[in-house]
Amino acid sequence: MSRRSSGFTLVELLVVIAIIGILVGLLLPAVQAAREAARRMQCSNNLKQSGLAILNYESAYKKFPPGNITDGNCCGTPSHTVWSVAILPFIEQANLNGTYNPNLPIEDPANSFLRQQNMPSYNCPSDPSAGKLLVPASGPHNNLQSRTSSYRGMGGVGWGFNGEYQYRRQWDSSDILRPECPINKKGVLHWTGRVNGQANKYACETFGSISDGSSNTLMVGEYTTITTPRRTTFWAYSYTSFALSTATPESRTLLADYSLCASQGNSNPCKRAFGSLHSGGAIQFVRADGSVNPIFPTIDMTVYASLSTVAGGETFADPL
Amino acid sequence: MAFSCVVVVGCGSGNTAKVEGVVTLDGKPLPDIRILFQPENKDSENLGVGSFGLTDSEGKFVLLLSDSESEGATVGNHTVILSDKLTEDPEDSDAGFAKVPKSRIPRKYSKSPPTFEVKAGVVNQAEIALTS
Repeated sequence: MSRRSSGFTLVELLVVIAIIGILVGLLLPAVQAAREAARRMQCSNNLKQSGLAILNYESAYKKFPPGNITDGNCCGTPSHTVWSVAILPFIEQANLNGTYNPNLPIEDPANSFLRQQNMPSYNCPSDPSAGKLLVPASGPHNNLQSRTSSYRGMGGVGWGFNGEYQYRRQWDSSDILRPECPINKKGVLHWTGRVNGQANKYACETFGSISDGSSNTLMVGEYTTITTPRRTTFWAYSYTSFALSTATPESRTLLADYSLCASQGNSNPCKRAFGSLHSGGAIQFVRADGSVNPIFPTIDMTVYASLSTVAGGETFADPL
Repeated sequence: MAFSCVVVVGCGSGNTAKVEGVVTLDGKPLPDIRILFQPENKDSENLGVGSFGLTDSEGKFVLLLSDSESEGATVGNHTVILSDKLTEDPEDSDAGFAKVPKSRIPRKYSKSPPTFEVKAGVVNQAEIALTS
């Protein structure tokens, strides 16, 4: 009996391994794509929740929350509440809201517990820089850390070209003492700056003031950056642009890469940018009617600027 | 011939074409000027990101795409945004309130920016001649 002992030859083994390798190679990208799709879905659900909380805030107070409140003139001046703090009672975080002392600036060490709180519903799962403790890149932070997040409010058109580019900042929270901001360029969560001792300079928005239509008005969108991590979003550090962005009609401000944007021109529009790491650079926004839709870095800047304002009076065909 | 141009120049990739040019003010070359080409996607077919460039000592520039930093610009009409690198806010500052030094770009070009049409399949020559 000279039968070969049962077993696999080398060639058989190699063939099997090769087949398994090919199958894994086919499967892995599909699995990764499915995982990213799920992360993106969770990301848009977080936005939806924030949008509903803002609408509930509007139901309770008959006005939208302030984008942010910064005292006095640029730079390093005290800052106060911000949309993402104002809606805390409406996302079942009333206890956390109770730790905020609104009589002190939000960057005061007494408010560190609030600023350092990790808020999973403000973190996009596709955003690797969310949920970290970092010292923000600028402002009166006193080298205190704050918690990073993924979503910023839409304050309106911050810089604009049609006749105003470079010479006229528009709805930018560091321009508090400038002449009046152009009313047709304001966003639904614009800053309501105040000069020390005075009432807010600009009133919060109401549904009645969104004459462009709430479904055509961006409210909260994603921002993260793969470079310069201290320029990412900080949900409770309300100084100028860390939780509130404005639209600049240049596509470099929609790339989720602060350094790449800043290498192409004035860096200040890059600090007030939007951007995400989803495929195609899709930036999800919740609009003032509570719907969540993406825009892309290839969007027509006229459309983008129109979507970012509440009462520009523009008519255009929404690309969606 | 046209085909070989596309192959040699590489302008057939996607919907972009190479753009190079020169910026002059009253006939003299302007160095250190930032150029942004922002597509006007009005026909909604030429979707694309903007491009950027910086003039050298002879006022010459080559455009790179904003997102990939590869050469080129989206085919179609663009708004040309010019700014003076020497007078922009310092990188580490917040939006300053201080008086901004006077830009070398005459103000009229900010009020009505030049436009440029990027054509497919050729190396586009953008001569941006400004007058004060």
